[in-house]
Amino acid sequence: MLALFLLLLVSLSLMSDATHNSERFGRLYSLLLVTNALGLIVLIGMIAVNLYWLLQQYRKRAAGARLTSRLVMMFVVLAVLPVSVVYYFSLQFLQQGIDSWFNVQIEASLEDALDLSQSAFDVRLRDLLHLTEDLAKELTEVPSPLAPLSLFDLRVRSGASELTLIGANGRIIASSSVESTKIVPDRPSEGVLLQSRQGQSYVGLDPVGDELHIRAVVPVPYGGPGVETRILQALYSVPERLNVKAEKVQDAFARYKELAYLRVPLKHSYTLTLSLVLLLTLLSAVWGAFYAARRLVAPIRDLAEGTRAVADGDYSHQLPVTGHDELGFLVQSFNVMTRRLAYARDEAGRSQQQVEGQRTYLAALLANISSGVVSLATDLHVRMVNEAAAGILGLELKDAVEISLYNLAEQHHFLQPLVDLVLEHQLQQDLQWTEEVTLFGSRGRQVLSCRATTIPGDDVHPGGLVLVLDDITALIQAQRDAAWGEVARRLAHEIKNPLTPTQLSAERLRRKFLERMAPEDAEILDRSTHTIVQQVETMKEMVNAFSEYARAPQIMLEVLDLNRLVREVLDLYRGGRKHHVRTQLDPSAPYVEADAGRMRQLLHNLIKNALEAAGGNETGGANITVSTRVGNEDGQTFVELAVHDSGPGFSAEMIYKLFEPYVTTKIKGTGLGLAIVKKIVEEHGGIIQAENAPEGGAEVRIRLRMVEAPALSGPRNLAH
Amino acid sequence: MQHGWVANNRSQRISVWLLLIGWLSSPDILQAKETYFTVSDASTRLSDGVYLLDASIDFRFSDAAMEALLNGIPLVLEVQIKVERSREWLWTKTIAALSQRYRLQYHALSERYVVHFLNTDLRQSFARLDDALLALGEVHEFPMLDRRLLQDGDQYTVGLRATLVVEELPTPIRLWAYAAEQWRLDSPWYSWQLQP
Repeated sequence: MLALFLLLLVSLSLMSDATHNSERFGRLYSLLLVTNALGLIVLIGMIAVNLYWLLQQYRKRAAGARLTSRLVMMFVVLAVLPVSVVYYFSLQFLQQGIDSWFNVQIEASLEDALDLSQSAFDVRLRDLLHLTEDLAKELTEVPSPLAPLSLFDLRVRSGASELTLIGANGRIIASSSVESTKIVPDRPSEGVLLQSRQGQSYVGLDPVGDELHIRAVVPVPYGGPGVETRILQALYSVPERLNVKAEKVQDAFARYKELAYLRVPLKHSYTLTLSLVLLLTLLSAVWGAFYAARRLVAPIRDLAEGTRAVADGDYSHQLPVTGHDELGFLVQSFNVMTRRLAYARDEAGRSQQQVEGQRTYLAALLANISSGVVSLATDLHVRMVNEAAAGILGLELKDAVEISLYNLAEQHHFLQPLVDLVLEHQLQQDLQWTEEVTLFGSRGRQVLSCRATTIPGDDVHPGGLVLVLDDITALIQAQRDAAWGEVARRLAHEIKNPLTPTQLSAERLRRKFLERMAPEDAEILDRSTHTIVQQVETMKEMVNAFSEYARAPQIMLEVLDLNRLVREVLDLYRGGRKHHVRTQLDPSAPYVEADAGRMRQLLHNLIKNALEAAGGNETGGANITVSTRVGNEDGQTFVELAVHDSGPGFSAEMIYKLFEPYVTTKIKGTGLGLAIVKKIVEEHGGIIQAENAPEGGAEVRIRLRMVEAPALSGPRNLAH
Repeated sequence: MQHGWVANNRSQRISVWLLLIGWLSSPDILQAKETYFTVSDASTRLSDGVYLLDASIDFRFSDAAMEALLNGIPLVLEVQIKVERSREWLWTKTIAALSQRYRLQYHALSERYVVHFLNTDLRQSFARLDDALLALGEVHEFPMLDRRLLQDGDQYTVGLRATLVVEELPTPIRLWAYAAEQWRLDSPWYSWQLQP
C-alpha cells in the first residue's frame, strides 16, 4: 500500500515537473500520465472494495460496523473539505498566476524588440544587396567556365562567406565558399529562384546552421545572346555580436510566443496535474480513513463481541491487547473483568454446590428424624414441613406446605388447638416455649409435645418460627400407666394389709361378745362392729376399684357394633325401672374397634352417673338419652357417643375437674367413675368431652374412630 | 481481526483489470477520422543491389497544427518505412524498419521556416511554408534496403507513412495532441508489394 503511494507521489512530482516543460522529464510525461491514471484507478478500485466490505458489515450488523462507518465518514469529510478548499484556491492562484505572466505589454515590447532587431539589419541588408548587385554586374562579362576564379576573387574582395552562381535551369555553375570543406553549397528555395529569374533581387536573413546569415540573390545582368540568365547568390555572415544579440531577441520572442500560445494548454496541464494530486490525496485519505477507522475500531469491535459473549454467559473470551492507549487499557480491563467474573462464577457455583450439599444433608436429616419440624414464617405461613411432622399430624406433605396456618386449621379442624397454642404464644411474644397439646385427628387422640423457637430474621433470610413436634401420646400414656400402676399397686397393697385384721378383729368381737352382752350393750356392739365391717368392706371395695383402675388387664380390641353394645347395656337398665332411657342410635351402624368389656364398663359408668344426676336412682324417674352419631370432620369419620341426662348439669368449678380421680359430687361416689371412663376412652384413642347441654342437663360426649364393618379380623392387642 | 482484507485481494485485481479494459476499449482511442498527412505515391526500384525509394507525401496541416507552428512551436515529423515478409500461418516478420525525422520551426527574426533534418543534422530555411513542406514531401532516391537482406521467392510488403511525433511536442500540448482530432495528423500506411 505504502509502496503504491510513494510511487504515485514520485510520478506525480515528476509529472508536475514535466508540465513545466522541462527537458528533464518531458519525455516521460505521457508515461507518467498513464502511470498516475492507472495508480488512481487501482486506488479507486481498492476504495470501492473497502466500501463494499463496509456496507456488507453494516448490513450484517457486525460489531463495530456502525462506528467504523461514522469514523470513515468523519475522516473523509475532514480530509475532503480542507483539501478541496486548498485545491480551489490553488487553482485560482494558478490560473491567475499564469494569466499574469502574459501581459499584453510584454508581448508588445517583445514584438517591438523583434522589430528593432529586424530594423537593425535593414541597413546592412540594403548595403549587402547593393554590394551583391555590384558583384553580379562584374560577373556579367565573365563566362561560366571562368566563374570559379572570378567567384573566388569576388568573394575574397567582398568578404562574403559564400558565392554561388546558378544557371538558368537551377543548376549550380560555380561556387566559392569560405569553408573549404563544404561540398554542396546552399541553394536558394524555388520561390526565390523564380523571383530572381523574373529579374527581382532578394535579400534576407537566413538562419543557416546555427548562425544568421544574410542571403542575397540577384540576377546577373543580361550578358548578351548565348549567355544564359544566371543568378548570383551571396551569403554573408553576420558579425558575432550582432548575431548573438539578434539570436537572443529572437529566442526571447520565440519563447514568449510559444508560451503565449501554450497558455491555455499550460493552464489545463497544471490543472490536470493539480487535480491528479487532489485525487491522489483524497483517495489516499479516504483509503487511509478506512484503514485507520478499521484499526481504531478493531479493539472496540473486539470489545463489543467480547461483551456480547459475556452477556451470553461465556466468560472465557480473552481479547488480544493491541496498543498502549486508552483502548488498550480498556481491553485489558475487560480481560481482567471477565477473568474475575469467571472466577466469581466458579466460586459462586462452588458455594452453591456447598449450599446444595448442606441443604440436601439438612433435608435428609429432617426427613429422617422422628420429630416433626414445621417452619413457619412470621405471618404463620407454613414454609416447610418435614415428613415426620406430616406423619405426626396425619397430613399429606404436599397439603401442609405453602399454606397459612389459619388455612391449614380451617381445612383440618383437628389442628385448631395447636394453632390456638401458637397464636397464644405469639400474642404473648414468647420467643421460646414448650407445651403439650392434645389433638383428636384421624388417628384419634394425640398428645403432642410442641417446642417452638423464634428465629430472628436478617436482610437475607426472613425470620420465623420453628416448631418441633413429638407425638408423646403413647409415651404419656405409658408413663401415666406406669406411674399410676405403681402407685396403685403399692397403695392397694399397703392399705389392704391393715384392712383384713381390722375386719377380722371386728368379727371376732362380734362372735365373742355379742351373745354374752346385755341387750343394750349388744346392740351398740352389734351396730358398731357392723359399721366397722361395712366400712372396711367399703374401703376394700375402694382399694379394689382403684387397683382396678390402675391395673388394667390387656386390652382386647375387636370390631364392635356400637349400637348393639349400647342396646345390650341399656337393656340391663330397662327391666322394671321407671327410667326414661331414650336411645338415638345412628342407623348407619357405626363400628368401632374397642375392647367390649371396657366399653361396657364405660357405658355403665356413664349411665350410672347420668341416672344419679338426673335425680333418680336405680328405681327410676330420670330422663336419659344415649345417642350414637356418625360424624365426619376433616375427611375423617368418627363415631360420637353421647349420654345426656336431665339433671342439673355440671357446676362451673366442677366442669374443669370432672375427669380427675377422686372428684365427685356424690356422697357415696368414689370419684373415679368419670376418671375411669376417660382412661378407657383414651386407651381407645378417643376423646371425651363433658358440657352442660343447651336444653339443660349434662352431656358427656365421646368420640371414637370409626372403622369399617367387620371383615374377618379377630380381636387384636393394642399394647405391644 | 481484519475480516475482508486478505480475502478481497483477488476481487480488487479483477476490478482493476476490468476498469482498465473498459477505458482502453472506449471508441475514441481506436477510431481515426480526417486524414491530414497523405502518401500520394511511393515506389521502390532496384539499383546496384540497393532498393531505392521514391515517394511523394502531402503534408497538410490542420488549423491547430498551423497555429502552433506559427506561434513558434517546433513540429517534428517522421516518415516511417517498414519492410515485412508476409507469412501464411503467423503474423508478418519485419525485415527492416527505418524512420526519417524532420523538425519544422518558424524563425521569427528572419520570417523563414527552418527545416532541420534530424537524421543528417542539415538545416534548410524556406521563406514560405509550402516550399518547406514540398521539400519535405519529396523523397527522391532514398536508399532503403540492401537486396541481400531479401530471400528470393518470398513475398514482401513495403509500408510507408508520415506521422507527427507527438512526444516531441511541448508537454502542455501533448495531452490534447493525444486526444484531439486536430492533432491526429498521421497518414495511414501506404503499402505495396515487393518481390525480389
